[in-house]
Amino acid sequence: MNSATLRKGLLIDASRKLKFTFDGREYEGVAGDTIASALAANGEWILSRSFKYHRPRGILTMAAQDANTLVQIGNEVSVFADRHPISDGLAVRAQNVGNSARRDSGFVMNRLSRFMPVGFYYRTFYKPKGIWEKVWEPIIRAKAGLGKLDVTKPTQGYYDKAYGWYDVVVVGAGPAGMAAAIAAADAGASVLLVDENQRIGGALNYARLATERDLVSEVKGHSKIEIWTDAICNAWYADNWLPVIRGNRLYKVRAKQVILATGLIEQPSQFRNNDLPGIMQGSAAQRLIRLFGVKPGNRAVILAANDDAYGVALDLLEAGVDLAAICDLRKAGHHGPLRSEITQRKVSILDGWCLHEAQPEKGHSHVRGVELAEIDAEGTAGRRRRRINCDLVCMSVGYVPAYQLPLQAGGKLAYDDVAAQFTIDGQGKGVLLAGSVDGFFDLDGCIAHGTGQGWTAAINCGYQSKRRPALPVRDRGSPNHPCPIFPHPKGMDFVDFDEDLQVKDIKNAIADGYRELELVKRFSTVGMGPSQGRHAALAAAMLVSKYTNRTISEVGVTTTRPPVTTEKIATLAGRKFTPFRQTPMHEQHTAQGAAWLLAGNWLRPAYYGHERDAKRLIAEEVVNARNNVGMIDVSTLGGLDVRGPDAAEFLNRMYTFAYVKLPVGKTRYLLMTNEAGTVVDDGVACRRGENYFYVTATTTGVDRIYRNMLWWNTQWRLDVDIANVTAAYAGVNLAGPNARKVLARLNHDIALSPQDFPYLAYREGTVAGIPARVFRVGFIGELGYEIHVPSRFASELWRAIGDAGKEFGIRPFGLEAQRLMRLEKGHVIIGQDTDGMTTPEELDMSWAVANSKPFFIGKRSLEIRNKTLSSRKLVGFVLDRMPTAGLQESNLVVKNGSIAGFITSIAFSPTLGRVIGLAYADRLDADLGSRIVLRASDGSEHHARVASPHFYDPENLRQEM
Amino acid sequence: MAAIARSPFAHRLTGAGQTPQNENVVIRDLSRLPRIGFKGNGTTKWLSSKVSAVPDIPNKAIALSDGALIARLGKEEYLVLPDPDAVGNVCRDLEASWNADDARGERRIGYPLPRADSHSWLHLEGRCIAQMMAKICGVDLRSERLLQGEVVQTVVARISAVLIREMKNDPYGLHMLTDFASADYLWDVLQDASTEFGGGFSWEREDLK
Repeated sequence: MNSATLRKGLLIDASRKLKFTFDGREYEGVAGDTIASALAANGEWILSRSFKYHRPRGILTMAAQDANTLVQIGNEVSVFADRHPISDGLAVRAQNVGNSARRDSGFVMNRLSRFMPVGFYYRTFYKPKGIWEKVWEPIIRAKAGLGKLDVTKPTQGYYDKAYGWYDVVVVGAGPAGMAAAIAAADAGASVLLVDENQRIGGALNYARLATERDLVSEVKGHSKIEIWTDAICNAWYADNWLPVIRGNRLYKVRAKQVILATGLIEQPSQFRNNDLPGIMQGSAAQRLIRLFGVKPGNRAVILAANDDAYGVALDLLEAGVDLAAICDLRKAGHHGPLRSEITQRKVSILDGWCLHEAQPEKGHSHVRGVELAEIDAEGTAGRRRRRINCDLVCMSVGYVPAYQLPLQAGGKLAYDDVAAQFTIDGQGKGVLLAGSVDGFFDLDGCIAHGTGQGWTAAINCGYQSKRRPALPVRDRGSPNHPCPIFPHPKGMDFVDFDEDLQVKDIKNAIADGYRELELVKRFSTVGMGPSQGRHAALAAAMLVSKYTNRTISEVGVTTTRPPVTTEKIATLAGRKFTPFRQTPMHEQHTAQGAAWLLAGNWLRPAYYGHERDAKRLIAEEVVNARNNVGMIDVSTLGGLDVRGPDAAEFLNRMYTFAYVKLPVGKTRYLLMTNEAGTVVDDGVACRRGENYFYVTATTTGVDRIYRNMLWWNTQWRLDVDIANVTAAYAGVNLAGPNARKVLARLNHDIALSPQDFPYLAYREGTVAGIPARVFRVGFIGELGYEIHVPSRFASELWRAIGDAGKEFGIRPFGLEAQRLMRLEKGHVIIGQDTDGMTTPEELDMSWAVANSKPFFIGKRSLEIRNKTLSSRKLVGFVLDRMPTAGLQESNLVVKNGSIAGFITSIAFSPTLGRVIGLAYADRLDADLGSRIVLRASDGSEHHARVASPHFYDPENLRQEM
Repeated sequence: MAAIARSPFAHRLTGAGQTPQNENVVIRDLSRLPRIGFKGNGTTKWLSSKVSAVPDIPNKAIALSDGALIARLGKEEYLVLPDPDAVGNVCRDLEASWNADDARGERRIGYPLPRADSHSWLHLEGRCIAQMMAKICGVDLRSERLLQGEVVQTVVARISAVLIREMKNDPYGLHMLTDFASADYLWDVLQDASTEFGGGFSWEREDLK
């Protein structure tokens, strides 16, 4: 079957030879070849093996519509061989085969097919008990799937995404799509024309169609039309949001108007062995000839039910194929223009005959002949038979509209049982159909319809145009045979090639009681393979209609959902945007050896030094801060400027404490509850002026708190302005007994004595020559200054403090040390020591709630909740040592076998020399000295003693010094 | 303020400088330049009394005679950017003016915003800016859609951004102000997005000072 002399095709350059391998064997193709066309040109027709029975499969559509051509390239599975181009050195392998596509030991399954009736797995694998996990699941898992993916290898290539915006997007660059694009663009619209093929033109490229207009040139020459070929519009989503895959990029396209000119999908006929290599759609043979210059066979039989089949016949004759017979399913009297041409060629035409059986070469490697049967009065294969040798069978028996996108766009599919034709109507506003997908089958009609729809789309976009083009009248005839299904007593008459489903499988599913198509689909898996029912949905509907005595319009078709065709996970993942934030001192932390930790989206130093020494380093950082002086970057802390005459009133409403009387130059703790009275955030309010508060919020909470503030004040209409200045200010917490001395060494203009700058005071001035907001707080329980400066100056501040602290042995400490020290001090972290129900009372923080205020968010709820206290309380606890099993945050607190609470914080305190923690426990066990039981992750239980959560310096002498 | 201010991109501007291979996408860091915002009740009235004109509607920017841009971000919110090629004193003067008015006890004059510290400032210029931005931003920024002086407050690569189309038409130029703390992340995003066009960041040794 050498077609070397014929290699003239629209898509190939026969002068450029390329070598590639398939299943390890080397082949030569030419530039522009797909894998399938190049193999076919080499006489290699087996591309894959079927899913269940491992039957040899070859070219069916040459349009990347079927699972027959799925192959593996490198670590990429399920690549369409009839779309993927060859390249020098390309290594292609067949999927789902034991050895190769040619020799597959799995073909034995073909002989065992009778033991695998439809739905057999539902009935077989579940008994006896336990056999599924031990026997069947491992076997099926080993057998299941098509390609072999090495998950340890990274995805090759760079995948990303982009947005696109157009007035009109036309999907499908066939005659109707091109005409639509031209009409819309002529009216002024910006148009994107998307086509999945290498070349625009659709069927004009391969079918015997001729038009006076050079649509391709018109489209290419139009300044308002952008053309994307090799681009797949894989779905339609609300508001005309179209994911278009083009190479390794996923475009998220928005269109004011979408025109779907998706065309038709040619359908196979069902007869015995209709899946043999060498049996293909008529359009597939035409594509091979016209696009790739490949002779699809030497001696052909054509199964016809429309005039297009005669176009295929003419093409085959011109390609040098011997035409053994044309077997027309219709009775005599159907004479289209192409048939008229054929009749002059003295080709044998058998009207009213069908294909009853295709006969295979040894090993089912190819078709070697067919048995024809005259169709009887019931429309089935009658007794009159005829056998013909051939190596090619072309099927041209009908089409279904490519309805996937129209239906996703809200279209409803109906079936005209008389014309044997689907119709689509009712798709969403802004979505138009054009051409054959909307039932216009002749070329002139398609073009006229496309022109009309393009014009309409432009007008819908608001463009002005001359008078509306005349819309063509729909052809009342259709190219579809009402039921090209001819069941064979011995089966192998495949309805669904993907899932190896035969006519009897559908029949038996119905016999089992699954009368509705959706149920038949789920029971039999028809239409659930990679080709998503493109060639099976109509046949399945025909069979269900036949065996349930209903019309196809009554049976309907199954739902179609995105994606339209296969898409890679890599395409969906694309380039991922994962924002992270760094403080202005990030580089300095890196230079100091920081180990990083993600807090919200902030990168923060966890500790400084190597991971293997983490415990020791954290302990050293704690000890140095406790006994000497340490510094920590607190730039991630939320910062909000609250300004205006109503600023104090605003805070009074937002937070539980009282702020109206807070003096300027002082700070006060902030506790926020939500409407349910649950603690949601905390921080510090610094009163900079009568009408100006600088408010801190938790690192991870500030954006939410800011939004909340804006939301509430939209209702309250207080005269206050709120600005989120988190990134604008960097902060350093200088803490430890020597903190004041270090600060004194810096060039500053702030009086630092305890009298001038007492605990909880707020001051402004310059520190190291930098304008700073400074306040005394004690999160870790030591003398501490929080110094906030504009971000631009932060690295200078960090350097200056480090320099000033050198003589005192200052060292930076990370988040781990800070968390540990605050635990020693008994300060809660909102979000860690609280949950979705925590009240201030449970935290023993009722002191931070000003009940005398007329209102704050959550006040009413707290009043109600405090009347009936919850059964739990946050308590401190101690253990002499960490149990071998380990105890972790979220481990349970149990009492009498029931859950009483859980650990929120736990750590070994280097300061205290024992394990300390916070946990929710039964309120009755909250008294100091009580015992609580902690359950480790391994189930072991450990007794802990309830202690004051203020484990360290409970008199606050150190932080207030 | 002291002259120690650093751009959040400073650590990425290394070596002798860098010039993209063409003029498709040229990104310059202007973060070291002054900029200021004003927001809150009375801002429009106050700012109108200090400069020759302010944009009449939100999401518009106008150029002052010295080349400075006044971008209106909301009914009572503004962003002021000096002309990068001839930095004047507009930000400093406005800040001083506001402080003086505030000290005099004037009320309802809005409040200054520390935009030089909260937002980094990049200038993107070239033939393929809109195309590149289409990879990282869901808003149509093509020149026929985003006109000179129009402002877009949106999300770029999942972080908030203020985009201002420059007044001149050719080449296409865009000011982009985003979170100061996300600069390192944004650098990588833009470097990655611009590579396809042969573009990228542009700086000279002098920018490192």
